[in-house]
Amino acid sequence: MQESTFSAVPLVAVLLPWVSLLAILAFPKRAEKLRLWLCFLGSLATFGVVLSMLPGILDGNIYTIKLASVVENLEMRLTVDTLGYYFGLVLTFLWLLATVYSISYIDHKHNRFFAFMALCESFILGCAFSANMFTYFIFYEMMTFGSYPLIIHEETTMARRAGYKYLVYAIAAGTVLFFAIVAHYFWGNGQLGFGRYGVLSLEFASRAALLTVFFTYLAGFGVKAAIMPLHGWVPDAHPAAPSPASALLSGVILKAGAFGIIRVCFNVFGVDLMRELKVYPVVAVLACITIVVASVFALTQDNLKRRLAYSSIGQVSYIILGLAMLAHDGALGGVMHLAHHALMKGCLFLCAGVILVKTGKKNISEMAGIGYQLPITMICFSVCALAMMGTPPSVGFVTKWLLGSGSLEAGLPVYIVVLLASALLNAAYFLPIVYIAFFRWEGDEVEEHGERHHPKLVFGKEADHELVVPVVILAALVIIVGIWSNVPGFPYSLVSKVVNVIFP
Amino acid sequence: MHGEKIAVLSFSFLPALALLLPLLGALGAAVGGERRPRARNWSAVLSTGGTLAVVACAAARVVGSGPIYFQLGILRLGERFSCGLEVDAMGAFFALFASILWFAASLHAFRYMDHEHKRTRFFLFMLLTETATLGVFMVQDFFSLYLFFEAMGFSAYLLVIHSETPRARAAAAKYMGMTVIGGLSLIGGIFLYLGYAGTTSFRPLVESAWLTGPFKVAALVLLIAGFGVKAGMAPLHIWLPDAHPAAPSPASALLSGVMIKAGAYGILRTVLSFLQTPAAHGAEGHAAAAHGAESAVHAAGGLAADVRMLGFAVIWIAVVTMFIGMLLALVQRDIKRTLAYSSVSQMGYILFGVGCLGYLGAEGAMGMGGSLYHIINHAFFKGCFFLAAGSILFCAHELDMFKLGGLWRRMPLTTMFWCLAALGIMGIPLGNGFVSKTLLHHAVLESHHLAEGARLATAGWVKAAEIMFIITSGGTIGYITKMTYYTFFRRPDPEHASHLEHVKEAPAWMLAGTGLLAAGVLFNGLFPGLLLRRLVGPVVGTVPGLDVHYVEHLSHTPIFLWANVKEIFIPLGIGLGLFLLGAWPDLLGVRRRGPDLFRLRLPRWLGVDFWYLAAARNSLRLLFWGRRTYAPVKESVVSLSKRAASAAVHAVRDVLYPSLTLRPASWVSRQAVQLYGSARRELLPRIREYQGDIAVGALVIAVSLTLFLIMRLM
Repeated sequence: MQESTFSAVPLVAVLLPWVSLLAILAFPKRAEKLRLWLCFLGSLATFGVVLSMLPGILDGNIYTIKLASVVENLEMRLTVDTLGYYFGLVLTFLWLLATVYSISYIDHKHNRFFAFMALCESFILGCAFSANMFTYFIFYEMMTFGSYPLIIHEETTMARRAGYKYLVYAIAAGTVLFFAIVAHYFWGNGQLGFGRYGVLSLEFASRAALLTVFFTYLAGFGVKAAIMPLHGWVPDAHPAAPSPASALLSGVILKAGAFGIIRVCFNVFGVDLMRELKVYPVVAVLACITIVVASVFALTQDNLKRRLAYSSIGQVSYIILGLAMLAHDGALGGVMHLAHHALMKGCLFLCAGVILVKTGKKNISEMAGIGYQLPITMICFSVCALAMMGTPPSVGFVTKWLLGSGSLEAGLPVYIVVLLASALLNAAYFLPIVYIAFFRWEGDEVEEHGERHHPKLVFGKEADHELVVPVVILAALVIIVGIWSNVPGFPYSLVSKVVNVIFP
Repeated sequence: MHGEKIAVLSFSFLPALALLLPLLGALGAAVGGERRPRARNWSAVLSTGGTLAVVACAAARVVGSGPIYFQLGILRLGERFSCGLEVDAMGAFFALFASILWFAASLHAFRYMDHEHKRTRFFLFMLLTETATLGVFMVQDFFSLYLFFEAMGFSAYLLVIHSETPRARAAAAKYMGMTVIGGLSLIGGIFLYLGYAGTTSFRPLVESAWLTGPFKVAALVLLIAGFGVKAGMAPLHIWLPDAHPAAPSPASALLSGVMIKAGAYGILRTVLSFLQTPAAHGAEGHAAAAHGAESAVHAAGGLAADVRMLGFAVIWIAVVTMFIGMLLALVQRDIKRTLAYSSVSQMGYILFGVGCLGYLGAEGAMGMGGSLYHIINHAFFKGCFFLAAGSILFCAHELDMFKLGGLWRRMPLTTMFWCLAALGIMGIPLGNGFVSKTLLHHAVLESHHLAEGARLATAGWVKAAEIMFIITSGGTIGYITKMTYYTFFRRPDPEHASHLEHVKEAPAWMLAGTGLLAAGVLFNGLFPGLLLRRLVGPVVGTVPGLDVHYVEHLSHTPIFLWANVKEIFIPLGIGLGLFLLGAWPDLLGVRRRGPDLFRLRLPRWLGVDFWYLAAARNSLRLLFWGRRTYAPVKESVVSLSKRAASAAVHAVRDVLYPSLTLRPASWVSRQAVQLYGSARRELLPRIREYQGDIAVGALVIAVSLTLFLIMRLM
C-alpha cells in the first residue's frame, strides 16, 4: 500500500451536495422542477467526483486532507482509503437514485426534504471518508439529526411518534458512543486514527479496559446497525418515512452503524486483538439471534414496509456475523453485503413506494393482482425478493455463499444452520408477496371451470419515469453485480483488496 | 487445475450455444406474444429443434474425443469459485435426451396450448426451463450446478401453476415449498462437501481432517435429500403427484421426463463423487481418469464401508419409493395422476440402479448402466404417455379413465403410440423397459452375489429387495393394463358415451410430438446392443473409479436371451392377476359387488404428506403458543416495571417526603418532589409506549447472556 497523498477531492465530494442547498436557497418558491433537478445534479456531481477517484483507489492510493486540528492528536481529517471509498461509492450511488425518485414521489414541502437529503448525504459521506473516530463521530451525530426531518416528513401522528422514538434511541446511542470514544482515546494512548491492523493493543491498557471500549462501541453503533435489543426504532421509522427516505434508511443509514462496527473491528481493534480478547462469540451470538428473530417478526407483519424493515434488521446482522467469523471469506461476504443489501433493500423499498403512489395500498393482504397493474415494478420486486433468499445468480447468493464458506473456514458449520434458517424464513415472508401480486386477483376464486376474467399485464402505464427507472436500475444491478462480481468498481474488487490485507 | 485433465479437455462453443438457443427462443416467443401466435409457437419449435441439433453434435464430440468446456466467466469469486460449462459424457447423455424431450413437447404444445390461457407465459418459461435444465447437465461442479438447479426449480413453478385453478395453486404451493427446502438442503450439503473435499468440483481434492465422519455423512444426506426432492424420492415425493397432473400436458411430460431426472442425475453425481476418494485421484487416479479407469480397482479396495451402507440405504429407499408409487398408481382414476404416481415408482427403479452402484462400488458398472438406460427409457415412455394424455384431454375433454373408453376407434394413432409406451414401461420384450429392467435385475443379482460371497450381513435384505423389485414390476403391468383397457378398449358407459361421439384424432402437431417419443421407445427396445456399446457403455466407462472389466461386461451384455425373457413371466402373472382382480366385472359385463381394487379410497393418514402437514401445523401452533406465552411475560415485565415505579413514588411521597418536610430541607424536597412528579407525568406514558421494546430488549439480553455464559462454561 502506498503512502497517503494530499488531495482536495474528498473535501469537494463532501461539500458538493451543498450545491443543492444553494439552489433551494437561491429560489425557494419559483421553478420547482428546475430546482429539484438541480438537487439531482448536485447528487450526480457528488457521485461523479467519488467515481473519479476509482482508478486511483484501485491502484492503492489513499487521499487525505486535514480540515482542522482541535488539540494535539485530535484532528478533523478526511481520508479516502479502500474501505471508506467502498462505502462512499455505495452511498452516493443509492443517494443519486433516491434523489431522482424523490422528484416525483415527494408531494409537499419539497424544499425541506431535498435540503435535508443533501445535508444528510454530505454528512454520511463525511462518515465514510473520515480518517479517525473523532471525525467519524462528529459526522455521525450530524447525520443523526439531519435524517430526523426525513423520517417525520409526512407529519402524521405515526411519523411524529416514530421520529421521537428515533431521536430517543439515537441520542442515547450518541452518548454511549461519545463515552466509547473518550475511553478509546484514554486507553488507546491517544490514537484515534484507523490503523491498517488496528491501533489498540494490550500494551497500553488492560483486558477489562479494552473489553469496555469494545462493548461501548458495539452498543453505540449497534443502535444504528439495529442489533437486536437495540433495534426498536427501525420498524417504526421505516413505514413512517417516505419511501425514498426508507430506502436510504435501510440502504445507507443502518449501514453507517454497521460501517462503524467494521471500522472498530478492522481498524481500531484489529483481527488479532479481537481473537485475543475473545469477543467474537458474543458478537456472533447477538448477530445470529438478530438474524433469526427479526425474520420471525417479519413473518407476522402485514404492512409491507414494516415487513421490509424487520427484514433489514436481520440482513444488517449478516454483516456483523461475517465480521464475527474472523475468517477471510466471512469478512469478505459480510462487508460485501453492505453494498448488496443496499441494492436489494433499496430496490424493495422503492417498489413499495411505487405501489403506495399508484394504488395507495400499504398492506400485503390488499395487494392481490398488483403485478398486473405494475408489472415492471413487481418483476423488479420479485427479482430482489428472490435475491434476498440467496437464489443464484444474484448478489444475495454471493453473500450467502461467501458467508457459508467463511463459516467453514472459521470451523463453525453451525453458522450455516443460521444462514439456512434465515433463507427459509426469507422465503416464507417474501414469496407470498410475489404470489399474491402475480397469481391472485380480485374475484379469482369464483369459478373452478370455465372462463374467468384474467387481468392482463399492462405495460407502459406504470408510473412516472422518475419512479420506475431507479427501481429497474437497482434490480438490474442486483443480478449484474451478482453475476460479474469482479468488475473493477463492483464490491468484490474493492472489498477483496481490504480483506486480503487483513487476512493474508 | 487438474494436470492431465486439461490435455483431454477441449474448448468448444457448443455448450454455450445450447444454452443460448432456448433463451433466444424465449425472446422470440415473448416478442411474438399473443398478437403473432404462430410466430411465437414456431420460435419455440425452431429453438428447441436447434438445441437438439447442437446438443447432438456436442454429444457426438464428447463421446468421440473427450469432454469439452466453455468458460462462462461469471460468478467468479477469487480463485476458488467460478461458474463454467464443462460437458463430459454423462452430462452429454442427459442433455441429449432432455433436448429430445423438449423438442417433442414443443411440437405437441404447438396445438395443445390452443385451449389454454396465457400461452406466451407458458412458452417463455418452458424455454427458460430448458436453458436451466441443460445447464444442470453441462457443469462439473456443485457450485455451478446449484445455480442452474435453482433456476430450473423456480422457472418450472410457472409451469406448475399455469392453469391457476385452486388445485393447481395448491399443487404449486406444495411444489414451491419443497423446492425451497430442497434448495436449502442442497446448499447446506454443498457447503459441507466444500469442507470435506476442499473444492466444489465433482472430483474431490483433499480430505480435510476435521470434516470427516459425521460431517461427511451429513454432507451426503443433505445432498441426496436436496436432489431427492426433485427426483421424487420417497418420502420427499409429496409434491410430485400433485404438481405433474396440475401442469399442462407438455409441461407434465417435461417435469416427469426430464426434471425429475435432474434430481436423479444429482444423486448419481453425488454418489460418484463420494466413491472417488482423494487417494484414488492422486497420480494413479489421474491416469485412470484419462485412460478409462485402469487402476481404479485399487481405489475400490479402500472403498469405505460407509459408501456401501449408503448404497444399501439408497437401494431400500428406492424399493420403498417404487412400491409406494406402484400401489398408489393402482388405485387412481385420473390418467395424469396415475402417470405421476408411476413416475414416482419409476424413479425408484432409477435410484435402485444408483443404489446398486454404491453397494457394488467399483464393480457397479451394471447398476449405473441399468440406471442410465432406464433414465432415457423412462424419459421416452413417460413423455409419450403424458403427451398422449394431453391429446386425450384436448380431444375428449376428460381425463377420468372410467368416463372414457373405446378411444382406439376414434384416435387410432394416439392409441398406437400409447400402446408402444405401455409395452416399454411393462418391460415386455421389444419395448425399451425390458432392456433396462434386465440390466437392473442383473445389477441386483450381482449385489446379492457379492454380499453372499463376502458374507455381508445385508445379503438377505438385498435378496428381499430383488423380490420387491419383481413384485413392483408386476404391479406396474397391472396399473398400465388397467389404464390402457379403460381408456382405449373398454366399451364406454352409456352415460358417458354421448360425450365421446364427436372425438376425433389429435392434430398432426401433437401426433408428431407423441410419435417422436414412441419411436424412441421402439428404437431403444429394438437395438439395445447398439445403445449399450455406443452410448451407455462409453458413458459409464468415463467414470473414474469403476472397474473397466465390468464396464466391458456391461457393454456386451446379451439382452435377448431366454434366461432374460423368462424373468418376465412372474411379473406378468402378478400384473394380469391384479388387473383381472380389479376389472373382471367390467370385462364380463356384470354388476360390481364388494370392494373394488381400482376405485379404492385410501384413508388420508396413509399418505406421508398428511403427517408433514400435521407436523407443520403443530409447529406453527407451537410458534403461536410461544407468542401467546410470550405476551403474558411481556405484560408481567411491563407491569412489574410500572409497579416498581409506583412503589418508588409511594416511597418518596409517603415515607421520604414526610421525613424531609423538616426545615430547612423542605423547600428543596418540595422542589424535588415537584420535579419528580412532572418527570413521572412525562415519562410514564413514554414507558408505556416503549414497553414492547423494553420487554424484547430484556428478553434478548437475557437470552444472549445465557448463551454466552453457556459457551463460556463449556
